[in-house]
Amino acid sequence: MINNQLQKISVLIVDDEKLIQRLVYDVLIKLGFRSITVANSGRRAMELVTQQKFDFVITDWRMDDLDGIDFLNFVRTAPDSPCPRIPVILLTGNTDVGDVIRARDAGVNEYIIKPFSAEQLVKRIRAVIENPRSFVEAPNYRGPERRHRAEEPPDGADRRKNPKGKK
Amino acid sequence: MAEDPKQETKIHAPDRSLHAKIGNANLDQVLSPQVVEGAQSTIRASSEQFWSESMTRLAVLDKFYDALGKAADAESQMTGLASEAFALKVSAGLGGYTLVSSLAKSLHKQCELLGGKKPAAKNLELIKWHIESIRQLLSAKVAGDGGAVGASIAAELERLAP
Repeated sequence: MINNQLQKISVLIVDDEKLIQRLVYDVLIKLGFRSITVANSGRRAMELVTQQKFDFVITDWRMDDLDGIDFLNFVRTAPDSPCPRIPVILLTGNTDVGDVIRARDAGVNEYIIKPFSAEQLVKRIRAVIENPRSFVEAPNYRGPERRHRAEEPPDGADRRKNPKGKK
Repeated sequence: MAEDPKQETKIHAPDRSLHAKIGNANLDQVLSPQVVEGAQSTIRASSEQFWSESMTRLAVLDKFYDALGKAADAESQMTGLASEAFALKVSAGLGGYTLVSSLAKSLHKQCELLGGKKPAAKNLELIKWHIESIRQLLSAKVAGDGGAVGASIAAELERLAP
């Protein structure tokens, strides 16, 4: 069965809403993932990442007991973080541009807005697996390269044919 | 993140070990449109649960709204309203109730704009209008954008919202 390959990937879901936990879990199972752990809070997620190795995390932002950004800050910057470079996908209802910028500056890899579709989730998971970004360790930032890659530039032949975008 | 002036900037090359771990599998095949559609059907199948969840959230919105008129501390009622509206936006959206989700988002925005202050009469009216519209749509299980009903509600919101 072709989807067996995804069974090798270990995922941590962090969300305090039981229905959403269940939904994300079920969607991942349908996609072919099998090694899935669920945490009810950012605090529980902190404990889990120090006990087990995960390949990537899907986390909510708003949670009562340590929110998703605090969890991300722990993962990226705490001296005792066991996985500072782990890919983190934020799955959140926060839609303001300021929120997206805050998440980016905290070192999030991908951002999905709830309610989400399977296609949106797959797109972000594929980005983490197939197109990982460089990882930056700077005095004031630790996380994936913040500039998202633009579309591939036109190849040389196309550029020569169309030097100034004229037809 | 606190700045450490002694630290130099390091840039690590992209870590491709995750793709390697799955044998550099072709994800166009592994996550084919059929597989993605199967996952989407899981979301659709959960619609009823998210409808129930949304109705529960609506009942909580009612409680906060009722308490708003009586309680001395408007701030906690407004915080509660904002928080429930936010949660309702997500649950209704996942249930396929797009218009309800939009109204809940609008309600959340109104509550945030008021910033915990006791609402004036016109703001109270707007909050009440949101809650009643959401009730009407959820009770009738009006999914998606709500068609003609949705268009009339959207027009009314346009008229009422500041």
